[in-house]
Amino acid sequence: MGARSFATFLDRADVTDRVLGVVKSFEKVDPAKVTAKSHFVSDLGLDSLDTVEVVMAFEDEFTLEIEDKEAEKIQTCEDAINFICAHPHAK
Amino acid sequence: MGERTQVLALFKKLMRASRSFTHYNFREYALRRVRLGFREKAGVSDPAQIAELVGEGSKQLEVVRKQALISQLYPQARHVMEGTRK
Amino acid sequence: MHGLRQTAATRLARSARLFSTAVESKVGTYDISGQALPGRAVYLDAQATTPLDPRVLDAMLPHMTGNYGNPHSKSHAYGWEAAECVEVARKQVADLIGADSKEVVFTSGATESNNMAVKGVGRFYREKKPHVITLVTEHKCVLDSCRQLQTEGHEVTYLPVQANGLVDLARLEAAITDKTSLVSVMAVNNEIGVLQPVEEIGRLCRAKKVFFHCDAAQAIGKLPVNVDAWNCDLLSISGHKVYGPKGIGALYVRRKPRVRLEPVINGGGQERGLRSGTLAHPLVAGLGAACAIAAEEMGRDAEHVGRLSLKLRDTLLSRIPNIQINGDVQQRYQGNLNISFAYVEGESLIMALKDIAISSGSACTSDSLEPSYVLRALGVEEDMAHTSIRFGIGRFTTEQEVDHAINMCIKHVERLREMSPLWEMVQDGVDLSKIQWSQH
Repeated sequence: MGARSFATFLDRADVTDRVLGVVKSFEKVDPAKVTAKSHFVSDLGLDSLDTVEVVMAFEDEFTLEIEDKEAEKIQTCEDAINFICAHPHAK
Repeated sequence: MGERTQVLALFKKLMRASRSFTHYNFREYALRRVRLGFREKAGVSDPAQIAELVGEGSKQLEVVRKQALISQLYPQARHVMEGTRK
Repeated sequence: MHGLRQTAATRLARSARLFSTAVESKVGTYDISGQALPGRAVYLDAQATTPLDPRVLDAMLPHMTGNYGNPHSKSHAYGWEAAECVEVARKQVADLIGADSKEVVFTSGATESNNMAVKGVGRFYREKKPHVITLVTEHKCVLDSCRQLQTEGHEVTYLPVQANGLVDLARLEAAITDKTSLVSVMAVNNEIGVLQPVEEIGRLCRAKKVFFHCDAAQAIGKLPVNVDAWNCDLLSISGHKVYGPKGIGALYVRRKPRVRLEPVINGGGQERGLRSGTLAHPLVAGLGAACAIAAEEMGRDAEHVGRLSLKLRDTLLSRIPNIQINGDVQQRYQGNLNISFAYVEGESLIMALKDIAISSGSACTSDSLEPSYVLRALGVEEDMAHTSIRFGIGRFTTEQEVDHAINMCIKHVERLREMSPLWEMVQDGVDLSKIQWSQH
């Protein structure tokens, strides 16, 4: 892993729990419909602006910054889970 | 930077800036107004128009940033709608 | 740190907070006038004043810092900058009302504008046309200016209004004579929110060759105002009713056909000689910006205010018995809802709703114990007038605040009525109007 970077990768089950929690508490979302595979737009009825807000909430929840180019690729809960699990500085 | 990315990036910056108003009513209005403003123009496809809107939006972003900073410099007591702190 | 577990409950609470906008206030407990309050109150007094829109403050600040020149200084850039700022603002105000820049005169507020219009026109035409007409429900500054004209020898007709607050056009027409110089009628009433038939009044005045002055302080920025469509010759504007600064207003003075008036304030001849005094160009900039923003936001504000007002009105009407809305329900500005709650004392209700900032009528009359003259003019019974509360919804009011106001209102009206012996008697079927109250 090279020089000491204090990187800590989070446990996947924990991340999944937290990601789904964030999505369920978004006002426009019906919490009953939320699964790890849920697509924000086609399954949960959000638009691209809502998706930006959801990604912002992930940033706040995990204390990290998600670059615009990366954020665009997060379209499902699973995308978010994968991204965060792979991120060395997520909290 | 693609148009879509640019627009969404601007939206995100405006939302972040709006969130930083310490005054409840201005904060809520800014968030509501930004969402409304972007949704109103969601159907625009002409690149020249989009560029103009992004330009205007960037100017508004500067205003929001400045005014949110001022609200932080002159904070007020908590608004009753802001709930109890825990 | 690594793999730190949180309980599901705390995680959900955290998630909910991510989407809420609650912010830690750095200021401590909120203490004012010896009372410790739970926090800053929900502001529902939009007719008394409105908050300064941050965009307006942004437009004002450069002129309160670096651009400090006197706009009337002709010999240097400091003056030219300030003068340019004034002219930009003048155009912004003019555009909002469909007027020409040259027809906009800046004043210290709508009270001054009203004084200028009524006294200025009245005095100019005092020889040939010493008659002025107004309504009993006008703002105090108009009524008092008319009274002043009376002491100077004028005749003034104070027309009554109908039970819905609107003027009877036939009576207005009958009141106009060839000695009438001016008719002064406000567009939207500050206490009850009714909208007078300004277009018809304007047409009538134009036909009879009488000047029409309209106090539009509560209408500007809330509904489309056009001086030509309204056929008005003078129009008063207030800065702090349209999310602009306090201490600034304007008077529209028509140039074609020309309105002549005697200035109330004399001096260096600024504002075409109609209103002398150095212009406070930061305030002027604020008024201009507020008008420009109002033009842009009018549709959105109307939708927002209309929706919230309808919710407030319909919920209260359906959940609380024995209440009435004062003033015509249709011909009104929706953001002003004046409601009488029978058998509940207005002041008690306001005190009970201590985390909601509302008023029981006009801010200008709140010092006296007299019931509002506007409500009396509508024929509202004195006891009902004492029970009235005015809810003012604006651009910055949130739906959350309106919900809170609705819930608190329902709760406290019920509670206060429970304590009221009159309410008990009414519930028992007693007809209060038939009671002979005995003296002690």
